[in-house]
Amino acid sequence: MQPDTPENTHSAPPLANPTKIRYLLTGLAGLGLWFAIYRQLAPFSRFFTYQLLGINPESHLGEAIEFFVYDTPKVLMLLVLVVYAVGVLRSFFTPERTRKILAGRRESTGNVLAALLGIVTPFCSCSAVPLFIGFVTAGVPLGVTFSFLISAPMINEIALVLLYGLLGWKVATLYLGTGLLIAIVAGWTIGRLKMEHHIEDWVREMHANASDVPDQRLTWTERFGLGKTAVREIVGKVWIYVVLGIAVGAGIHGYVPEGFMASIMGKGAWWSVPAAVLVGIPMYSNAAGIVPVVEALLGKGAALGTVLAFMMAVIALSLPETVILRKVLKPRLIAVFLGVVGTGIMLVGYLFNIII
Amino acid sequence: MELDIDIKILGPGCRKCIQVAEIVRQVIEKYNLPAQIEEISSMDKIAEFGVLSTPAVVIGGDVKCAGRIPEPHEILQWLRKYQGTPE
Repeated sequence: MQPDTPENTHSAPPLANPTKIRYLLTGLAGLGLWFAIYRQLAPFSRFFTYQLLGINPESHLGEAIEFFVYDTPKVLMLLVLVVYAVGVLRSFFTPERTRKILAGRRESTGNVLAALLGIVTPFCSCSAVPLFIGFVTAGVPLGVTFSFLISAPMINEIALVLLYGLLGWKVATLYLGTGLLIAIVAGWTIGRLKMEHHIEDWVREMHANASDVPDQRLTWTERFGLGKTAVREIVGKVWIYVVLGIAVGAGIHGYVPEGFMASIMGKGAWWSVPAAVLVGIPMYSNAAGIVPVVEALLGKGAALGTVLAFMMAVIALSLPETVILRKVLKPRLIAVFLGVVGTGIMLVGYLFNIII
Repeated sequence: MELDIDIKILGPGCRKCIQVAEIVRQVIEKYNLPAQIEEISSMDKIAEFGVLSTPAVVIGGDVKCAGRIPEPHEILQWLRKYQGTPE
C-alpha cells in the first residue's frame, strides 16, 4: 500500500501499476486467443464444407462455400484487430497536433511528413474544409496540405486489411508504398506550381483564430476505450459490405471462368488504366465495398496495376470530396488537384502492369 | 437572473454532429440548465472558430472539443465550470 502523498495524487495520474499489468496480461491473452482461432479457420472451413456438409471437393459449389466460410471470419477478425490497434494509435494524434508539426515546415520534408501523418491522424472528409483552412492559415504550405489531404483518405486501415486478407501482404505493401508516394509527389508538384492565389479569396482574407482546443491528456484506459469505440463504429458499419463482397467474390471464385476480364482490363489493353481512373473518380465507395470488387476483377484476369489504379481513384478522388473542396479552391486548383493525383495514379497503374 | 449559456455545435450535419447535439440537449434537460443551443453548419462560420475537425462543441465562445463525440459527464463539467459552480 502506498501512502497518499501529494506526489502520487497529482492530476492525470499515469496508469497505476497493477492496472498496467492487468491490461498487459489481458492484451496478451486476447492476442493469443485471436491467433489460436485464426489458425484454425482454414482447417475448419474444409471440415465444414466437405465433411459436415458433405459436398464434393471437386465441385464449384464446394469451392465457393469453402472460400466464403474461410474468408468471412478471416477478414472480419483481421479488421477487428487492425481497427482496434489503429484506434488506439490515433488517440496519440489529433489534427491540431499534426498542424503544429507541419506549420512552417519546408517543402519536401513537409510533404513526406504530411503524407505519413495523413495515415495516423483521424480525419473525416466532411471536415476537409475547416481542416484545409486551419492548415493554410496556420502557415502550412499549400503543397504540404495537399499531401495530407491526399494521403488521409487514400491510405486507410480498412483498405490495407482487406488487401492483405484477400490478396496477400505484397499487394497491401504495394498499395501503402505507392499511395504514400503519390501523396508526397502530387503534393510537392502542387506546391511547385505556386497556386496559392487559386485559393478562394475569402479563405485568404480570413484570419481564423487558431483557437487551441484544450490538449486533452488521455489515460491508457481511455485510449483502449477509443480503440473499442473505433471497432464498434467502423466494423459495425462495414461488416455487412465485407460479407456481401466476399459472398460475391465466392460466387465468382467458384463459377466465373478465369480470364473473363483479361480482354478488357488485362495488360494488353493500354487504355484500360486511364479508363479505370476516369471511371473511378465519380464513383464513391468506401474501401470495404471496393476491395471485394477488386478481388473479383483480379480473379477474372484483370491486371493488378489497372485494378489498383481503379481502387485508388475510387477511394482518393471522390466527387463529394471535390465538391466540398470547391468551397475553398478555385476551379483551376481543383482541376490541377484532380489532374496531378489522377496522373500519379495512372503512372502507378502502368508501372505495376509493366513490372508484375 | 441567470443568463442563458451560449452553446454552439459546429458540424456540417453529418451523423456524428447530430448525435452530439442530441447528447448536449439531453444533459441540459436532465440538469435543467439555462442554455441556448445553436447548430452551425456553414463551412466558413465553422472555420472561423479555428477548429480543424467536426463535430465541435463551443461553450461561451470557447472551443471545448473537436473531432469527437464528448461524454455527457464532460459536457456537464464544462457547463458547470462556465456557470462558476464547482461540481
